[in-house]
Amino acid sequence: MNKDNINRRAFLERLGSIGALTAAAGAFPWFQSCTPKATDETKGNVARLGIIGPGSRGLLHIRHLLDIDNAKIVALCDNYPANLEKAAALVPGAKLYTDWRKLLEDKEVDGVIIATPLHLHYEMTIAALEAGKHVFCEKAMAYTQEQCLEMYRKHQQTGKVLIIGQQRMFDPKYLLAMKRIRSGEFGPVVNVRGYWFRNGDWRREVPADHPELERHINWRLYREYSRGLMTELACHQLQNGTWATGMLPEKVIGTGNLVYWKDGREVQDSVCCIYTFPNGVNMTFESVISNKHLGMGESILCKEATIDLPGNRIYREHATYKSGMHHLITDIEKGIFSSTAFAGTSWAADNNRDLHGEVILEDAVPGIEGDGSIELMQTFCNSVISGEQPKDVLEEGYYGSILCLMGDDAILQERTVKMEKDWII
Amino acid sequence: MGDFYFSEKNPRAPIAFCAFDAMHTRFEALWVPDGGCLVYDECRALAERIESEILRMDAIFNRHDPASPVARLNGSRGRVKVEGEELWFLLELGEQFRKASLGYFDIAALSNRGSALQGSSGRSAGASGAAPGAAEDAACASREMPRTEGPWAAEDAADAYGEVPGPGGAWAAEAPFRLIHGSHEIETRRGCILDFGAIAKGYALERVRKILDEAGVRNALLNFGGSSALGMGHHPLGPHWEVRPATPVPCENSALLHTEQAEERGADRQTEAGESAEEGVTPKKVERCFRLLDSAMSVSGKNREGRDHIVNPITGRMAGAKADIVVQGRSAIICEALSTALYAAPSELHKEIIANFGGYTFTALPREALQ
Repeated sequence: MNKDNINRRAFLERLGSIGALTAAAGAFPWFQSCTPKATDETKGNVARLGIIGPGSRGLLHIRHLLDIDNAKIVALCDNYPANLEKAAALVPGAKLYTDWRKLLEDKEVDGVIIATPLHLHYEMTIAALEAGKHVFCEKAMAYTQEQCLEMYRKHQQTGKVLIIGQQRMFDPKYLLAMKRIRSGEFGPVVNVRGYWFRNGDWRREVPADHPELERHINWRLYREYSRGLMTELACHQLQNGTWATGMLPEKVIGTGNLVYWKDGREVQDSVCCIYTFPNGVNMTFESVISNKHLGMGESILCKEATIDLPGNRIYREHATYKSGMHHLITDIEKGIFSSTAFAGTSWAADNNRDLHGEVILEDAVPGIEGDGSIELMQTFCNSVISGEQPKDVLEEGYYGSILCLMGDDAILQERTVKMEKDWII
Repeated sequence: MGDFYFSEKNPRAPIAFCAFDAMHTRFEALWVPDGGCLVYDECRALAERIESEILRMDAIFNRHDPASPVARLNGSRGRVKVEGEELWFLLELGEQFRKASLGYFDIAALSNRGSALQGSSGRSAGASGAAPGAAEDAACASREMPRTEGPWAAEDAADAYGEVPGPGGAWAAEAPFRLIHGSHEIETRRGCILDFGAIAKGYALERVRKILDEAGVRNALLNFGGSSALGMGHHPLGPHWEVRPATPVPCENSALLHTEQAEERGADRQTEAGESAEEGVTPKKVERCFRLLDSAMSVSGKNREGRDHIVNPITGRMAGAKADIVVQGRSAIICEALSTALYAAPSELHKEIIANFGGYTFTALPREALQ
């Protein structure tokens, strides 16, 4: 077992030892589905899974599943041989398919993980649910709001599990922070900021001897398959806003353009949307892929603090003075003669921004191991075994996708797009 | 009222603690309630008295509060009466510190900063065009400050900003203000800004020392924002109070460190029971530490965000020394003024300046040491 394997396993085991998460799980019940206790309840059973689309994200899911005790990957499907070969190398015993419909006919498959291009999510999910499979579908949920709604209805109709890949909902530091935000500890939410800046052409390599695969491999760049930055990047960040405020935005304005990567692609490389909640609070999402200086940011701005979710920090509006006097008091009470640390140039509340912040989750694991992805997979496995839909998880994913699609509509139509009553579930 | 804490968890060392915001920072006081104020209620009343007194000081010396006497002075032109004995006392004291510090402490250092920022060499450095160091030296010499003059000459209109008026009563051409001692008046010029930020906290600490002393408290540690501290008596379990920088200063990294009195601590720290309080501490982890025993200390340097905020009164520019300055001595007021002056002054003048303040020592610490 390599170091990454150990880290992933350790992370899942660690969930049970974070006391504060118990309270967070109470506030956000979907998290209870991936706790060690929930996993113990499935003991002796395994979720037999088929992976449809083991490309980059699909491979990541496979790696996580290989570390989950009650997961068994029994089938793999891709119509791109290179991806299928890579996945098969990781799961030697799995049956291989090139037609996803055939995989859905496989009686040994209890649940499927759909990690295909956006335009396929709807058709595959509907078919899988009708075939009696539990479904994990990557975000964004579907290409249109109507498709999202139909998928939701199909889940209700069949009673099968349906989860959308919103992994931040399972990230322990997000859970802890959101619980505190929702409790009002930091005052009211006054703004939500999300951005994702990269500097790259967002392309994947096309084999030189198969140029006809360009649209197939680089599906994110073409309107037929994807809605670009809004559906591929914005989902997570927009879901943060509904999570933090407990509300749905009622409208969005947006603009987007092709600024730099004018290479024949059909989606924008620069987008900016502003969503407005019923109480007037704005939520912004901005993405540019020709400058990476600002990187990725997801911040909840409250009256008394700014919560940097991926940064695992809370920055108070009014920096608190932390001297060593409290330690001195504790030492005196214990009978210890000690020194106290406070000497420095004058601490000034007016001038001192809270530069260092307060940690949300001590020892949070940075990077992919800490973003909730493995907990999300554990949740899906437990749900496949139990047949029980985790509470609220689909609804959060659904609205995250609806908001992405609304934003792209606003950009394309150059108008304010309002939340339609028909989309409310 | 701000925070208050009273503890008798250690019967041999009961303690009281109060903390509150004042003077744009945080004040903290820890005292051992012996000598007649042993109970919670008495200590709480003492804390209220301390807070009330410091907020009263704040109301006088806060130049950003339009209602304060200092703000009114800054808004005045010509000759006006100084409100209250305490403000007059600090004006006079400020003048004495300015002279003794060769001009590197100045409550009017912010005056005419606009022109300095636009490229002028400052109100006293002249327009020689010489390099800053040379300009400072020239300015210092030209001011002919009467360093040995007795304090607060009684004659009216004399001793205006360090220079004796000429026959016509004229005062130094570039002096932002002058004090008129007989009538407790001040005469200010356009652009004069009086700022007591570099001594008001020290003065407030001395006021608290007096309050505690009158209440019978013998042992206390006072901290004003980390930059000014005063130790009355000693730690209830030790021979003195020990104060470390907010961030440890390993001795092996103190290449720039100059000290005359700073102490080291580490492996020899003892508990009350005589046992090592820090098992495994090696000499390499020894930290810089300052001992207070009926004495005070003050730190001056860049602010905690790393920005300069102390103006060199001679050049009118921001003082940008490489090391922060810690001054120790009996009076918290003098410590504050002196650390400010030494931070602004060129290092080659430090010994000359400190020689004018008997009983005070200084330590120059590398910038990163105090973050």
